[in-house]
Amino acid sequence: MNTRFFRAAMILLTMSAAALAGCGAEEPAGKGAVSFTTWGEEYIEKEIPAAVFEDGWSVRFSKFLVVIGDVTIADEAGAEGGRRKETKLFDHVAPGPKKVEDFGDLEAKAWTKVSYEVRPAASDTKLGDGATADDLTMMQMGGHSVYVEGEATKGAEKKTFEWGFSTAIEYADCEGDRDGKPTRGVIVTNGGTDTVELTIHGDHFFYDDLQSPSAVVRFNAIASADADMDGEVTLAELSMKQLVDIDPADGGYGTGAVGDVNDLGAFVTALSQTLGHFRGEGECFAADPK
Amino acid sequence: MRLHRFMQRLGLAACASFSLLGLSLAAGALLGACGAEDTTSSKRVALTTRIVADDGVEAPFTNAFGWSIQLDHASISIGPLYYFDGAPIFSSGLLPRAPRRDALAGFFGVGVAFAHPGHYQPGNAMGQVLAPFLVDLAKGPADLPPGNGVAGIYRSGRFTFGDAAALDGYVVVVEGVATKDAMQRKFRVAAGVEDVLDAYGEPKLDGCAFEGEPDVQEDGTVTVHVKPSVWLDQVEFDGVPESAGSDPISLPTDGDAFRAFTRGLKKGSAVVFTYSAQETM
Repeated sequence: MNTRFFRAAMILLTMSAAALAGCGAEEPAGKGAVSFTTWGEEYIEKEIPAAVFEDGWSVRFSKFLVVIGDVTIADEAGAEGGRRKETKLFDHVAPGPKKVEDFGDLEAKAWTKVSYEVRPAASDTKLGDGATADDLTMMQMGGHSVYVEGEATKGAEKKTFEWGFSTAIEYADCEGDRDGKPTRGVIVTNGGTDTVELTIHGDHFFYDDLQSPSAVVRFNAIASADADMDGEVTLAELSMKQLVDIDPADGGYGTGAVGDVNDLGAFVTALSQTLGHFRGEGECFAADPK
Repeated sequence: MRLHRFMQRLGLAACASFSLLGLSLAAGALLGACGAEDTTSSKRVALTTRIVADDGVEAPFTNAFGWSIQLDHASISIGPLYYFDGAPIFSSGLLPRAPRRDALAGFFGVGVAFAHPGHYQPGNAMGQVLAPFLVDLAKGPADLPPGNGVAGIYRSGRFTFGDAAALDGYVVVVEGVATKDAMQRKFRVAAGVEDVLDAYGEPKLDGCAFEGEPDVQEDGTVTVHVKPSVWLDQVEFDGVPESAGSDPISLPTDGDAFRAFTRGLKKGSAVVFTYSAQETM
């Protein structure tokens, strides 16, 4: 009887403890680390194949420069666990993930507010993997945050492009799949390292809508902007192509609630602010930089 | 939450007639069971709703082609309005953000996960006006049917165009005068529901800004600000013939001017919501 009572009491105590833990009771924490990398995926390293494009084009990038920095880790209350304000220039055409920042000695817990920025190269911007000193000088001189060179082909037709953007954007409150589970920010475990990829999506430059999740990837409208027919589509030519003049068969080019986007140059520039992702397909809120 | 995701997978996200407030209360009760903070809040608020044209009625505006435009008729057939706590894309405000996957949003036909490419995620449904309404903005501010909602931060809204039958087969009809130097065009332009469909084939504008991201904690007034200047900003009237008499010229539906107008109608930046708390006597 006493044994039975003791067992029942122990079970109840255990269940109570578990319930309390589930309600946020304190547990002893250790220390761990977070390692940030960045990768442009195969779309940037190799090719965006014709199968991806709605209109049969394919695109190969020869340069895909992005300035990434101000990586910040904070907890739900906003208390920063780490912040690196410096920026680095990466060329995502170079293969493989590239190291951005390591944060060590972080309290083992969920750090739910993680952000990073893409912003114009400054005098203190450092060289990251893939990029050259000449690239850095060019980005600094041009005040660029993103610069892409590439070639689009469709059968015998070919168009080249060299576009530099000076937009600055913060990717905040990032969330992505970690071990198959949607996870806000990072999770630091005792003695462990959470490796996080700041993923750059090169196909976003060619979406035909700024806001709709049903946007598809197209190039016909961009190709048609080559006003002088010299084979290169410049940003200036894109800016002369009014969205209202795009053949509806080449895409809707809707702008959603984004104001003052009336030409393809402004459209592609707006898309340049949507490249940044988190752990592959994960997302962040795009906002003005801190 | 699992039930919600399951229902989303089953395609039941369009069950917009479910009671927002009832669901919110239920969510609050569940959260309260573990002492967690009720982030969705269960407090109900009554929302008086007004609509006003921000420009083009009391004074003319100048569009991108230099035409000064004054409206004397701007009728809209309006459908349901919904308010959310998800921020519009490229929002300058940052904190606090809405939860990504919510038990309420799915019932309003809203997908909330991984919204490529502009990253607009509606988040939680916070309020609504369900009754349709017909209004002529040129006659000044008008009252819309009353709405309701729950307390919390309102960041974005959905504007839907209403029944075309209420407006002789159209959802928007605008008449006015465009003037540039010595040129003058008295025009009329009418758009049907097929002219305002979004990428999903629905007559709605998603992700419209809720100015100031108000923290709504009490009854108040939501004002829908419509900007006809956005509708007509890219309309070049050069190619529109002058009217012979006093009757306006209708913009032909196969012309550039009409296409520019309907592009403007599809811009979410043409609608902005504001909130003001009820004045206490």
